[in-house]
Amino acid sequence: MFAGRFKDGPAGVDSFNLTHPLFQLVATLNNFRRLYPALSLGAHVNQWSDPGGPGLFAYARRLGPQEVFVVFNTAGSAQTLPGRGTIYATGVRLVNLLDTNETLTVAAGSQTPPIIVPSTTAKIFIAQSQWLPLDPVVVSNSPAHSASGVPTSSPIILQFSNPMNTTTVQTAFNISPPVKGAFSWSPAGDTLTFTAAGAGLAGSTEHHCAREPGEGCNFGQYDVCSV
Amino acid sequence: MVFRIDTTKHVDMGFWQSWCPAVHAFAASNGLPNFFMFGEVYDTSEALCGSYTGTRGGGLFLMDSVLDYPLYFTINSVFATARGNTRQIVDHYGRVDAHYDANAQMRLVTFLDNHDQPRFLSPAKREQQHQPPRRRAGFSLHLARYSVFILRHRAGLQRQDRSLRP
Repeated sequence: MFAGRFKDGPAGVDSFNLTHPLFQLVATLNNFRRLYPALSLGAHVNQWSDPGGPGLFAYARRLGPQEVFVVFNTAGSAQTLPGRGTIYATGVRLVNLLDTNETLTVAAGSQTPPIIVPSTTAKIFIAQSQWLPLDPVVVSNSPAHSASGVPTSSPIILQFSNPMNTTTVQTAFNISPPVKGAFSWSPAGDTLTFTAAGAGLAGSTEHHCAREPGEGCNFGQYDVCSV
Repeated sequence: MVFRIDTTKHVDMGFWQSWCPAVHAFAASNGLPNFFMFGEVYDTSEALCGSYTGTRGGGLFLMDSVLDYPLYFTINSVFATARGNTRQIVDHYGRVDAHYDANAQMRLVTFLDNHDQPRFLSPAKREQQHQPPRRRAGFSLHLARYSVFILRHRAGLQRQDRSLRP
């Protein structure tokens, strides 16, 4: 709604792209905070730090039976975090929230196994049995946010992170100025294409799509070529 | 409802000793017994920042919390410039435990940048980064400790502009 309209705002910079990787990373971290109570209310336990220079930092947030174990590496090369104590029992499977293909098994004595952390990355582990899915988000859209010179015949394509309930998404889809058109979905149900009928998109177009009930997000604002 | 108190350290402590209790009392008498006030103490010292929390400055209860400026400077060292060691984070929390009101320790107002500081991802800092992904690790710190995290609008932007006050 504010795109490019801040007082003293910079020219030629898209400040409101909700599909930018860093925006999505922050949204993901905040989603973790909503999903796992230990991240908002859990006790903070320092697990590792390096006194000599850039390197590893690790901490745990613990609340009842839940522990979120965070480790990041600020060094220019991969580092290995030695085993650290955890509330989880030996044999419990842990999953990295930032890459769910990565799992660990808690070693003897309720110790984490050695964890290799690549340069300037972070890993966030929790018991796999406590893992919860993220809210779906739009991961890419076309025309791109803040695009100009968009032809009136352009379809609007939204790709979601998960298969969606097509009915609720279509109900939430909103385009301004309003134009009639048709919806189609990819076989997997994760990509929506809206094709405007007749003269196509008009003027300066915005479209909105709700990610949650009652929440509208502006995923696109375009300058559309006149016919 | 929250009060952010600007330029706290540039006002006499005696004023806060009088004003803060009066505001808390007024809020409580109007149905807001947990009215939250935090001060801006633009300083690297936990001892100074902590002196404005609770009764740590002596006398009556002052602020419920303060902006975590010492952590801000630590984050710049550890992540943005990539020169500092990660032990500084532990040391910071150790000094917080020593100098801050017990409740304030668990609700410090943390931030990566604000309207007085270059953006976390600004070019001046980015130039000093060995690798751009460092900022990704920086964001992961905001899950640490109890805190009231202020994610500045457009923290994802690589800008140096300090004048924006959206």
